Amino acid sequence: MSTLEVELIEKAKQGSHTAISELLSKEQNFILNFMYQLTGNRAEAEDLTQEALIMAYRKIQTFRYKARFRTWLSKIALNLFRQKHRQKRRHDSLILEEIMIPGEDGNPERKVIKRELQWCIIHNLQYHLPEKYRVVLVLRDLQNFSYKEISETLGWSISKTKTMLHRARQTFRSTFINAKCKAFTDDYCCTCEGVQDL
Amino acid sequence: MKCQKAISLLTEYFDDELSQKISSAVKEHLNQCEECKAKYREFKKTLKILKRLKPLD
Repeated sequence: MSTLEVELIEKAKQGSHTAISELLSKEQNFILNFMYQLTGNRAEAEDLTQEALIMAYRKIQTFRYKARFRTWLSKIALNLFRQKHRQKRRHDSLILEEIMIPGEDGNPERKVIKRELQWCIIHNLQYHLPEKYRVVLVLRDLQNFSYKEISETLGWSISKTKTMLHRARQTFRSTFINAKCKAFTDDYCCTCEGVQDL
Repeated sequence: MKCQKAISLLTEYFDDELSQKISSAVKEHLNQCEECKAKYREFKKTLKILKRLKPLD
């Protein structure tokens, strides 16, 4: 944790609105992406992020430097996500046309392929991975958390973190293959049945 | 090292979380076993695909 961050946290704990705003605004984009990777839905991710930031604002006094500020904030956001995701979402709630695609590519065919790949990744994360695997996979492979940070966020031992991450990666690989996603081929084109249904 | 052991260590091997000794043993196994080497290639490719998920701006 940087000296600047510690200073900001201390000021925030003493009631500085500027300090807490600065602290949270630095983490806002990180939390937004974390929630998007877990929910696959931008609007829902924005709502959860908003709620997490408000909760962190209210609970800053309880921050005890046991982990990084980002890890502490991630735990808050993760708990909110879990509270709202008790029920399994319907398969058809993921609309291909609403999926954002990386980079501007003028080639329409290429654009479709890119969009389908994005759909495929979110589809597999959302509907074919148990939540415990999705969370660990997102933290490690999309948010680049260390094993220690994952264990702090999820309350797992390092050993359990390793085991769960390994299972999560293996499951993600199998679901891609089972969904007949052709993302393993060079053209990165996904033809899993969800896309064909749309 | 046997195949089952090597496969169980792929995650830690990929993340560079193994001791040098064990990491070398996994590497040696992957160099000798075509089946496990192919599995590791597929494992890496899966993660490469996952990392293509576009972040929000």
